[in-house]
Amino acid sequence: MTSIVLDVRQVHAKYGKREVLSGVSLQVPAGEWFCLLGPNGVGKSTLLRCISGALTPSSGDLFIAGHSATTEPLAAKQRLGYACAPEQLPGLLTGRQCLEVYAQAKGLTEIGADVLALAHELRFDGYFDSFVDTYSLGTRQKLCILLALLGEPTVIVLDEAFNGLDPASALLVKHHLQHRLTNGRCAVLLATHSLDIVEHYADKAALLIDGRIVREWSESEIAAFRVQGNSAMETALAAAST
Amino acid sequence: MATEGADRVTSLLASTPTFLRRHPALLVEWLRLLNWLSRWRGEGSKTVLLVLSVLAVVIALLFAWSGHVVGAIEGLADYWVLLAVVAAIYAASSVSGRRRQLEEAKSQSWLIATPIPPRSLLVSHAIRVLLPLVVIAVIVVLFPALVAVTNEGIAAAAEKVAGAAGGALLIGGVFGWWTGGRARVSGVVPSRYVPRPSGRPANESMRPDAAALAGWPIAQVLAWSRPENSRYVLVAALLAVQGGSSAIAGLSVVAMYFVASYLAALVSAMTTVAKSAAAWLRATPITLVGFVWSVSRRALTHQIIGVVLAVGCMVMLGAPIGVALQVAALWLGLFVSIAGFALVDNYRGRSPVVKIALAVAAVAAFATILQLRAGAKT
Repeated sequence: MTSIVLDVRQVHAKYGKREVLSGVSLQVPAGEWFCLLGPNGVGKSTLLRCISGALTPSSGDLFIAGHSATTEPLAAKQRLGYACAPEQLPGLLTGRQCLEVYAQAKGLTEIGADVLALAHELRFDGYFDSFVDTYSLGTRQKLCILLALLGEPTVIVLDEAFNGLDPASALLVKHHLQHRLTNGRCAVLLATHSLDIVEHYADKAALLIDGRIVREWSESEIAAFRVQGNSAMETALAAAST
Repeated sequence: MATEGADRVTSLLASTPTFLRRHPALLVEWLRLLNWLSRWRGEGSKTVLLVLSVLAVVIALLFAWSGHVVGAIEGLADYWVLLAVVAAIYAASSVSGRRRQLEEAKSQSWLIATPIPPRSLLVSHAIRVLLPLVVIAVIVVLFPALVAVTNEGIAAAAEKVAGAAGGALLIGGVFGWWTGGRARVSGVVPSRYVPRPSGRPANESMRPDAAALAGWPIAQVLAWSRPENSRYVLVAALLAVQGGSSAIAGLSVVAMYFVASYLAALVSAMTTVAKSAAAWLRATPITLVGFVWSVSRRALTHQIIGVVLAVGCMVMLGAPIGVALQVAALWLGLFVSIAGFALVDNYRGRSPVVKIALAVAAVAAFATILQLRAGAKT
């Protein structure tokens, strides 16, 4: 039986007095690609921020590879790969420095060859020695993804990470993630609006509405959507959203 | 729900002054100010603490300088030409710089694609650029007048100072507005003035290393210190050199200005970088000690070196060594407090503003006590 590497238990989260997450629970086992869907402003990014430690849940807990994000944050973050927003990247550092600092912050002894190989495939090596504030959105997005993949994380969390990526680069990243999943090395949690990714890559998906998970789709249901085609998933999503 | 939102928009427009409704770019700034104020109103105790800290600093400064104000006004009246020149340069540089910044920001503005008439944009820019200068001019004119009211015999000196400073601010402001409008919008990225990292060949393999974190505050200061900003420090420094001073004294004054400006900018850079670095590294298992040490170690070294240089300059200019060391200790204490609060609180996801304000107030109070004790001894 595959182990649960991401366990979200009844998480509530607020911004001030406004409750954004109202008891969200989900489990992601190793080797699974889990997509989080939902309209804008329903709490997808808030849930991911709770996982990354940027926001403390008002109640509930999150476990990353068995470590609580609230009581054992450092141990949890050792096993987490989180792609930050492109605007959070330090503009006055070069791409190389960002990778080195992030690796040091994660307590790594080296920068993995597979990350450097992916950087080469994404044609990012030409940007290693340029300052981040000269990068385009897509280039910054590539760097965010490379940072998230450092150190063989057990849980990779991506928030609309394919926005701004050219189709070829997006495909390379998807195949890289699939390769990691196939080897059982990790699990992926992706918040996205792209149903194409859900249909072709996801093992499971969940719909978040007004801070709660209202519908989950299993691997077989997603496979059925793939076979049906004709915007079947889109129709099901719209029906579940009402 | 949609009509409720629409009603709120129409009521906002109805309650807004007509002048602001005619100038949307200015209306945006007005609404930002109102939202910022209401956010602080919502913070309650934090706002009270912040206001009390600011009041404490102001009272401390008034205590420290109250005995010197009359003398300062009479002194400034003797050097009214120099005062006018400095005021004009300040007004010209600040207005020109602010206008240039607004012009550069215009192309990145979210309002760029709206049909706001160019005249309306010009009015909005003029108000935003010139209003701070008008406020300063009013203070500069009113303050000597108030002092003259309470102290007989310095009315003529106060009038000279107010006239020279006020007039120079006006002339400098006009000149700055004109030069700011003529400057080409460069769109230079901040890293333009940051030297590329050196010491390792570009093709050398990467390894985990936090050295770049330590260099980030220094890079931030360099990014801020564009040549067009640095030259004003040089002008102010040159004007501060008294006529008839020796070459060493003159160089010491200029060096002091640059060192002081660098050290002050480094304190500000620490607070900026602490916030950005904490947000970026939030999802990593970097420890508090590791974070604080990695970000602050080079800045702390630069502060210590800078303070030693400043002490040397002060002693060369005739200041007693005890006073110079006191100033150095106060400054280092201030840096450690501000940087420490910024780094620790941002690491923990909290705002350090109130603690920083309290630290500044505490240092101001301590400095005042030292000055009063020194005054009592003499």
